Amino acid sequence: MLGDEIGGDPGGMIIPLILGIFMLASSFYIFLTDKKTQTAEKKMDPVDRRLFLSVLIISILYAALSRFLGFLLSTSLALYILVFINLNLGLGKDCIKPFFFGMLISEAVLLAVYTVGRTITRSMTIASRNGSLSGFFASSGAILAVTAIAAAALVFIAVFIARKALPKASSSDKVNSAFSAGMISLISTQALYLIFKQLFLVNLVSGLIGW
Amino acid sequence: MDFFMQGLSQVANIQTILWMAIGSVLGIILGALPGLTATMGIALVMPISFHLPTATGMGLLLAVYCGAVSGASIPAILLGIPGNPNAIATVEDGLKMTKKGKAGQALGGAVVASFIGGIGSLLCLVFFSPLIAKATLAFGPAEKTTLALVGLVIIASVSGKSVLKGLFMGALGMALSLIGTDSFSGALRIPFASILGHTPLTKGLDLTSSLIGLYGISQVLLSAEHLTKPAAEIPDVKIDHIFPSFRKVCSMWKIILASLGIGTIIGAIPGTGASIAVFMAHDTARTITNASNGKLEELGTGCLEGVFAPEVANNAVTGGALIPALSLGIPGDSATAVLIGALMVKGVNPGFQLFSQNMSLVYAIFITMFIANLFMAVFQLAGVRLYPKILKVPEKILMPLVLMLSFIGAYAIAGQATSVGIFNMGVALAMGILGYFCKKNGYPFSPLVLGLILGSMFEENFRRAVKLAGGNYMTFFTKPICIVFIAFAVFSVVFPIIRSRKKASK
Repeated sequence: MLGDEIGGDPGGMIIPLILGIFMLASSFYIFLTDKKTQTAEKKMDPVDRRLFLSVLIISILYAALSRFLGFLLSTSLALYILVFINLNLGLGKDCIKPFFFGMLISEAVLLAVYTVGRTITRSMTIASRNGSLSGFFASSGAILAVTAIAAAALVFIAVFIARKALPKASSSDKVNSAFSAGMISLISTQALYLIFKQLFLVNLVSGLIGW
Repeated sequence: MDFFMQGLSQVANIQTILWMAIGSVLGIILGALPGLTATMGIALVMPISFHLPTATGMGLLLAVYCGAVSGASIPAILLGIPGNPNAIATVEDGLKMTKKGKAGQALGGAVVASFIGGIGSLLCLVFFSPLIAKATLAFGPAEKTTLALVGLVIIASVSGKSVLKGLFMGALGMALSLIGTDSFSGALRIPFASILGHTPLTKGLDLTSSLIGLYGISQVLLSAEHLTKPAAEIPDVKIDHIFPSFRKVCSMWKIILASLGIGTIIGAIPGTGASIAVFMAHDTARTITNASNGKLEELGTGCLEGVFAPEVANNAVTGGALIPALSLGIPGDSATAVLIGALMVKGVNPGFQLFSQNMSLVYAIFITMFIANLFMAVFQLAGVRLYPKILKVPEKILMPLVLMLSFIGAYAIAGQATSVGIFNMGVALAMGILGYFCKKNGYPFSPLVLGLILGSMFEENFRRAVKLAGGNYMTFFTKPICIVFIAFAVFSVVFPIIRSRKKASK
C-alpha cells in the first residue's frame, strides 16, 4: 500500500491521504468562516418537517425492507403512503380509516392484477416452448404486450368500479385522496414491473409474493 | 464514410427510434415540470439505457437531454417560472408575450429557436471534437493527470459561490471514487474493512446509483420541504399562430448567430452551463436590437427576439458541452457529466481512445444528437397545446414517483444480482441524503459528480506518471502541456478569489 521503492509507484494511499488532509483543512476553514449562513438558516414549518421526515423514513424503510416484502408490495405500499400523506399534508386521526381501507383495496387489486398477468406470462412462455404458440406470438415482445394489455384492462375495470362505488360511500377529500393514492400506486407499480421485469429481465425480488 | 455508415446502422432501427421518441417526450415533460432538471431526467433514465445497446442508450439519454432543455421554456413562457435554470432568461419576454395573447407564437418560437441552437451546435461538435481528440494524442499519463485536475478545478471554482466549497466537493467526489479495490495492487481501500469488506462496496461505489441519488432522491427530499406551499395557477391561455413567420426569423439572423456562438462556446467551457449562456445571449441580443434602428423589437417588451436569443443559446449548450466531454472526457456541464458516466458504465471511455477505436459509435452519437433535436422540435410543436396541461400535475404526486423511480433505477443496474441491487438502493439513498445536505448548505454538486467520474482516472494516471519518472513527483512540472494545465488550474482558483475580494472591498 505504501508503494514500491524500486519501481517508483507512490502507492495506493498517497491520493486518499492528500485528499483527506485537504478536506480536513478546508472543512475546518469553512467551519470557522461560514457561520453566517448557519445562523441565517430559516426554521422549517412543522407540517413541512413532518412531510420531510415521512419521506426520509419511508425511503429508509423501503431500502431496508424491500428484500423481505418484495418489489411489488414494498413499491406499491411506499407509493400509496407517500401520495396519501402528501395529498393530506400528514396523517391525522380523521385520515386513518380511509387510509387503511384504501391501502387494503389497492393492495388486493394489485395482487389480483399481478396474479392474472403472471399466469398469462407463464402460460404463454410454456406454450411457446411446447410449440403450441409460434411466430410472433411466441416472442417475448408479444408475451409482454399481451400481459400489458390484460393488466391495463384489469386496472381499467378496477378503477371504473371504484369510481362508481366512490360517491355512494363518501365524497370526502380523504376518501378521494385514498382513491388517487391507490390508483397511482397500482398503475405505477404495474408499469415499473412490466418495464423492468418483463422488458429488461431485471430480477426484481419477489419477497412475500412467492408465486 | 464507412464509419458513418456503421454508425448509421447502429441507429437506424425501430428500437432506437422508438426509445428516442419516448426519451424526447419524457425530456420535454421533465423539462416543463418546475423542479425537475435535465440532469435529473438523464440520471433517472440511465438504468433503462444500461439495458439497451450503447448507441440506443446514448440516443435515449440525448433525447431526454435535448427535450428537457427545450421543455423548460413552456412554464417560463406560460407561468413566468422556468422549468429549470436553462430558461431563466426566457421568462421576461415569454411571459409578456403570453399576457399579450401571443403565447402560441412564443411557445412555437422557442421550439424553432431550440432546434436551430441544437443543430448549429451539433455542427460545431462534429467539426471540433475529432480535432480536439486528435490533439490529445500528445497526452501521456502526466498530461492526463493535469487535464483531469484542471477540469475538476475549473468546475469547482465556477459552480458555486465559494471556491473552497467547490474544491472540497471535488475532493470528496474523488475520495468517494477511490473506495473499493486499489487497481494497481488489488488491496482493499475501504473504511471499516472488516465489515464493509464483505459487501459490494469492494467493487467501489456504483456510479449510476450515486448519480441517481444525488440528482433524484435529493430533489425529492428538498421538495418535501415545501409541499404545503400552494402550486402556481395555470392560466387558460389560447394557443394559436404557433409558427413565427419565416421573414421574422430571417430578420433575427444576427441574434441567432450570436446566441449560437455564445451557447456553443460557453457550453464547451467546463462548469459554466446554460444558465450563464442564456443571460449572455440575452444581453447581446439587447445590444443588437438597440442598434437595429427599429428593425427589431426592443427586448423586455414581450417580443420574439427576447425568446429566441436565450432559447437558441440554451440548446446550443447541449452540443457545446459535448465537445470536451467526448474529446477529452471533461464534461461541459452536469448533464454531460452524467452522460459521460453512462458511457463509462458501458465500458466506453471518452477521449482519443473513443475516436480512434470506436469511431462508428462517435458517428452514432452525432446522428442520435441530430435525431434528438429533430424529435424535440416535432414532439414539442405537436404537443404545444398539450404540454401546458402537464404543468397541472402536482408535486405531491410527482415526487413519490420520482423517488420510486430512483430506487428501482438504482436496483435495476444490478440486473440479476439482487444483493447488489439492494446495496445500490442503499448507495442511492445515502448519496441522496448527502446531496440534500449539500444543496441546503450551498455546496455545489457538479464538482462532486466530476470527482466521482474522474477520480480513478486521475489516480491511475498520476501513479503511472510518477512510476514512469522513477518516483519523481516533479515530472508534472517538466512537461510544457502539464505546466499550461497547472497554470490554468491555479488561475481558475485564484481569479475568482481576487474578484470576490475586490467586490467585497468596493
